[in-house]
Amino acid sequence: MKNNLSAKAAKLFDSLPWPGPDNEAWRRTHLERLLPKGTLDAAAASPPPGTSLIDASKLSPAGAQDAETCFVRIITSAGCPQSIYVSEEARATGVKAFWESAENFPAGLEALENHLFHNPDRVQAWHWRNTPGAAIVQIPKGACLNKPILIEETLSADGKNLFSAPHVHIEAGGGSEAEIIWSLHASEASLQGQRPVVNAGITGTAEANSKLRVTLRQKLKGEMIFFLNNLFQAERDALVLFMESHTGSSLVKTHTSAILDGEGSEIRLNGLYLAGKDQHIDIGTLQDHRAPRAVSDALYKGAVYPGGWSVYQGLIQVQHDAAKTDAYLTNNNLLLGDGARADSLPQLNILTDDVKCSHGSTSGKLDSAQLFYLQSRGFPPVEAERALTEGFLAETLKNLRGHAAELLHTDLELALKAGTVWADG
Amino acid sequence: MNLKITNLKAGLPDKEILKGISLEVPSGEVHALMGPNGSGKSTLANVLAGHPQYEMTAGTIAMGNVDLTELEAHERARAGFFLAFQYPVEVPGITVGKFLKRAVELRRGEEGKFNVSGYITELRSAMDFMGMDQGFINRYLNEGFSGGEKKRMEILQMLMLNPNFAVLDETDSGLDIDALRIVAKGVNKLRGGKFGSLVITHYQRILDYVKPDKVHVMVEGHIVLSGGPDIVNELEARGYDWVKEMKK
Repeated sequence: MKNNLSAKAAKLFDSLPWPGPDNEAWRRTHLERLLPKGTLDAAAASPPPGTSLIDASKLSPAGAQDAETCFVRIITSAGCPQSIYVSEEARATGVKAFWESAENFPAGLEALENHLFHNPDRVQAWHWRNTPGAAIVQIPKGACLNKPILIEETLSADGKNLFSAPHVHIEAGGGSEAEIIWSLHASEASLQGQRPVVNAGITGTAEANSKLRVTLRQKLKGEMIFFLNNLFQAERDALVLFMESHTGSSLVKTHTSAILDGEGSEIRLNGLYLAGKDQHIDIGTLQDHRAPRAVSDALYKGAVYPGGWSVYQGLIQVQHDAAKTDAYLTNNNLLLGDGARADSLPQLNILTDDVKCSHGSTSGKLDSAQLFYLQSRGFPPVEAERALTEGFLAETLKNLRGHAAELLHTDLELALKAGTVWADG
Repeated sequence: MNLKITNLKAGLPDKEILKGISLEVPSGEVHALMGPNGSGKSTLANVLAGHPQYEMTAGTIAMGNVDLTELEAHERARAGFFLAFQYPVEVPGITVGKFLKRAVELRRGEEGKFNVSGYITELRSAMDFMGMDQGFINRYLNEGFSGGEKKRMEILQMLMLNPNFAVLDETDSGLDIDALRIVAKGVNKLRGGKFGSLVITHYQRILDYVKPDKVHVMVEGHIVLSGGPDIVNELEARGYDWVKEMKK
C-alpha cells in the first residue's frame, strides 16, 4: 500500500491530460511541438527501477575522503540509493540522512500534500506517482552543520531507464543551520537516440529561526528532458537560500514555490540557465507571502544563444495577512546573437496594503563598450564574450560560499566553453 | 618602440573625422597630442586601438616593425599596444584580479605555464606603487570606482601589461592634483627604455609631470602644428584660436 501522496498522484495522473497551450504556465512550453510524438507516454510507461536497490542495508559506504569535503554524502541512481555516507562528525550532531521508500514517507513530507497538489498538472502528478522514494535529510533542532550535505543523482542511460523521479526532502529543525547540494548528472553511456525524462523535486521546510541553503546543479545530457517542482516553506524568522543552475538538458521546465509562512521569514531564490541552439528552458518561481514582515527576493539570469529559447515566469503573491511584506523579483537575460529568444513574465498579485514589492526584467545584448575594453586588453572576441557572459550570470551565485560556490562557478565556466562551440556551429 | 602613423584617414561610416594624419613617435620618446574639443583626438586613440566602430579608409599604422593596420584590437594588444581609456567602462561580474591575470597571461603568451604566485607578487607591488588598496583585487573591474580610481586602474594595467607603446587618452581629465601625480608617476616608471607613448590631453597640467619630448596639435582631423614642449606654454597663454587659424 503506497502512501497518500503516491495514491493521490496516481489518480491525478490518470485524470489529467499532458499540459497543453491552454494552460498558462505551459503556454510557452508546448510539449507537443517540442517533443517527438509519444515521448512522454513512452517514458511514463517505462518500468520503474528494480526495488531491490532500495534495501538500504546493502549500501556500500562511500570513501573516507568524503569527511574532508562533506558531512553526509548520498549517491543515488535513477532516484534509488547507491551509497550513503554519514561522517562521525555528522552523527554527533544527530543529523539524519537516509533514503526512504515512497511507502514510508515521513509525516513532514506527507504534511505538505495540500501545497504540493494545490494547482497540479500531470507532470507534477507523474513525479509523485512514480518516485520510488526520497533522499531525506533531517537536521535536529539547534544543530549547526559546518560542511555541506552532498546528494548526487546519476541517471544511468543504459537504454533501460527512460524515466526517473528523484526526490530530496529536507527538514531543518528550529534554530538549525545546514547546506544541501544536489547534483544531477547523466552517466557517460550513449543514449542511442532516446530521450530520457528526469522528473525531479525538492521539498524543504525550515522551522523557526533556522537557516537552510539548498543548491541544485542540473548538468544532464543535452538529449534529456528535465522537469522540476520544488517547494520550500519557511517558518517564523527562518531563512531559506535556494540556488538552481541549469547547464544541461534540451528541455527544462521548472517551478519553485517559496512559501513564507512565518512572520519575519526570508527566502531568496537564485537561478541561472543557458539555452543553446535548440534548447528550451522554462523557469518558474512563486514567492508566496502568507505572514507579515517576511522578505523574499528572486534573481534569475539566463544567457540564450541563437536558436535557443528561454522563458521565465515569476509571481510575487502577497496574501491578506502579509502586511509589511518586502519582496523583489528580477529576471535578466542576455541574448547572444540573432535568433535568440527570451520571454520574461514577472507578475505581482498583492492583496494587502503596506507592502514593498517590485519586479523588473531586462533582455539585451552584450555591451559593445565592454567587449571592446576586454579586446583592447588582449581578449580574443570569443573569449571576451564568454568572460562577460560568465560575469553577467555569476551575479546569481553571490549567496553561495565555499564548496557550492566553487562547484557552480566551475559548472558555469565549462558550460560556457561548450556553449561557445554551439554558437559557432 | 616607435609608432608611425602615415596618412591615416578614418571615421564613422558616414563621417570622416581623421583627414590624413601622419605622426611619428620615435622609440623611447613621449609625445603630447593636444587640440580643442572635437578635433578628433579620441577618435585617433580608438582607431589606433582597433575599435570596430571606426572605419579606416586610408593610411597605415606601424609599431616597431609590426604593421598594426590590419590587426584586430586583441592582436594589437598582444603585440604590445596599450590604450588608457578616457572613460573606462565598468565590467560587473569580472574581478580585477581575474581580469588582469588573464590579460597578463595573454600579453606574455604564457598560457598554461603562467606563474600565478609571481603574478600576484608583481600585482601587489604595482598596486603599492600606484597607491591602490589591495582590496581592489577582489572588486569587480571599475564597478563603483571613482573617476580617479578608474584612471589609476588604467595605469596599473599599463604597468602590468608592460606595453611597447601606450596612448593615454585624456587620462588627466577630471583628476585632482594628487591623482594626477600618481598617474604621471606610473607613466614615468615605464620611460627610459624603448617604451613610447602618446599623451592626449586638453590641458597643460599633466605635462608638468610627464615632460613630453615633442608636442603635436590637432585641429579638425589634421595635425596643424608639431614642435618642442614650448608649444604647451603658448597654447596655455593664447588658447587654440591661433592654431585653428593655421588650419585655414
